[in-house]
Amino acid sequence: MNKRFQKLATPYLIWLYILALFPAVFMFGLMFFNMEGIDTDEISFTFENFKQLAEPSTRIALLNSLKFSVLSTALCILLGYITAYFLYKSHIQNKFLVLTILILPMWSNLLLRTQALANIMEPNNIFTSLFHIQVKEDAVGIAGGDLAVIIGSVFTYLPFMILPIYTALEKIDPMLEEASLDLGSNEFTTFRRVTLPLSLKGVVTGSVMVFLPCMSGFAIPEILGKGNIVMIGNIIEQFFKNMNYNIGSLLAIVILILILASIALVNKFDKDGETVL
Amino acid sequence: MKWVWRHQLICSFILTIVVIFSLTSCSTRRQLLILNWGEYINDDLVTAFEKEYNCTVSISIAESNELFYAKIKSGTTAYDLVVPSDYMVEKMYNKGLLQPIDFTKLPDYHEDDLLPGVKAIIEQLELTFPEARAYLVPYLWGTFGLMYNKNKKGLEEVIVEKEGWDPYFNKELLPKGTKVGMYNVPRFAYATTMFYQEKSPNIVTDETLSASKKILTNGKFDQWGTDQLKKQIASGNLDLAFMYTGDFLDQLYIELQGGTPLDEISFDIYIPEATIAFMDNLVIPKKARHVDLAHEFINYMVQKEQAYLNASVVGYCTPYQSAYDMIVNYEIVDEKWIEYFNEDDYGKDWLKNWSYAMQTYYPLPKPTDEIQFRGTVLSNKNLTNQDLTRITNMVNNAKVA
Repeated sequence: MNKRFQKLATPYLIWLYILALFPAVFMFGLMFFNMEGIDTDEISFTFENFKQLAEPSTRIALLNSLKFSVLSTALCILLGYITAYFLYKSHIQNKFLVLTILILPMWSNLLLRTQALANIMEPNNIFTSLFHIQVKEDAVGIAGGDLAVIIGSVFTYLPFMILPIYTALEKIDPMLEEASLDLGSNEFTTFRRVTLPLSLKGVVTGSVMVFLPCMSGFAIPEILGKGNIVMIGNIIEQFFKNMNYNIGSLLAIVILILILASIALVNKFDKDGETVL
Repeated sequence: MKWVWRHQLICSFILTIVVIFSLTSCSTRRQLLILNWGEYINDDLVTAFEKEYNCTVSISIAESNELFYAKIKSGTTAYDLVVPSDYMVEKMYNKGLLQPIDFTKLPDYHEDDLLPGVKAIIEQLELTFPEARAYLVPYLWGTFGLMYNKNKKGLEEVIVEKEGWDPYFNKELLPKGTKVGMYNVPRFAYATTMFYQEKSPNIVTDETLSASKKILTNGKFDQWGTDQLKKQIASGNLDLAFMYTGDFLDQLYIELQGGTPLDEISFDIYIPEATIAFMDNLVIPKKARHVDLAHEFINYMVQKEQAYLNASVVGYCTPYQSAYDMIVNYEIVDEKWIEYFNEDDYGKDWLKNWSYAMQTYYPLPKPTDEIQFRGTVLSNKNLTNQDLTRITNMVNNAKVA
């Protein structure tokens, strides 16, 4: 690569150091102290914060986060791959337009979208009030349950899965498929032995992009779970709100480690290092 | 050539920055920096004050007392006025962050004009914070209560008959299928369980924590929320929830201003005898740079008509008897207010409904009343940060149990 172009990356590197690396190191330090906010008046060194990891709520919240991120990612892979594959195979003239429509919901605010979704999931929602439908008194909606949170996560993060898979599929040389068919494979074998392996990188990229925000997110479970489903993101938010940055940082570092571990895992499978980093 | 070009670039860059800074800060008008809660002031008053006193008022927003504290403590912006609640004024005072208010600069503030409830809150505060009166001017105050869905058969009767807390925590006492919500702030949730056990919400011990956890777990709440609760009840997706009386009134005002007549409103609130009371106050931080202007602003806001107008935009109660009387005696109010609260913006009968709401939900105690004031002020005086963390963990553990 041209050296002069490399200089263009400098602003990004500075950005990365200031807004990602420095806070992470700072949070790592905060784990070992006890103070109020970032107030050095009554600061004391302590390992007390680590007791937080033994709280049942922390353990269950971590498990919840893992469970919901794995489920949402799996569903996104399934739905995202099917969508991307059929779009890739179809003879639509303007595929760009279709892709634009797919990411269209992302043009509106995430919180607003989630609130709207929560409304639809309630027994008394915008439709029942628009059409004056009498709702039974004991009717129950799906909001507040596991299903609602999964639907919300998939709805929000699906575009992050479709786009990289579609890009990976588009990159495949069509001649490879033709060659496979010429050499006697049927359509299914061609897909299984040529297209799928070549598009897996897109799947990996997409999975990372869905898994990470699911793992650390707190707005979607808060709104769609109606506060009943506690994820690790919610607990971190709570502690930061209470000005207990120490325990907040500790938990944030725990997810950071989990996330780094999962990226390392991905990297192990993807030796070219093309997908993520 | 290259050298010249680079210098031109740097020079123009510096010039741009200088121009931007001079445009933003070079105003000759005085500036008042206020740190307030969101949607907690009548903007018409701010505009009028700016005009009358030839100054600019810039209002920043924070969403919790703890954030107020953090911002004042760090001092990166020298706010001239802040609106913290009772216990936070005490804490700010203890940390030496406040300056006493110069009451000689507030000719329009009369302590005898405070409502009985406000006087009671100040007296509660003075138990642990004897200097309270010298550091705060009441801004708005209120209580917490149990908002309920009137359309749920049998619910209203149970709540009123059993006086709130028993049915709230015991689903078997409530009509079948009643959906109950809890306010999603651990400190408040803990306080409700203490009221239920007829104890003070300001004590934390291992026993009270484990008792509280049991009560919260048995409560089997359908929703933990904050601002959403009132809308959920109004739309019929929730039947009962603990919240600020002001939250309930906000929703009531929205419905009334949207044209629903008062007798068709589908929800109401029950305020138990033991509940949380709070008062937000105007205080001046020690680092304030426009102390005189801050006093002028306080003096402006405590005037009868200003306090009256300010109370109209929120569901909380004015602390001043004179403004309260203006709201209640709406029939004899000045012509200009009828024009201000016109039917297009405020719906039919706004002044009448407002008067009704104040008398019903922020009633004046009758001389014959045994209890002159409802509610306990939350005080964190005897609570350490570890206690607050324990409350948070206890509530979370109850949620996931």
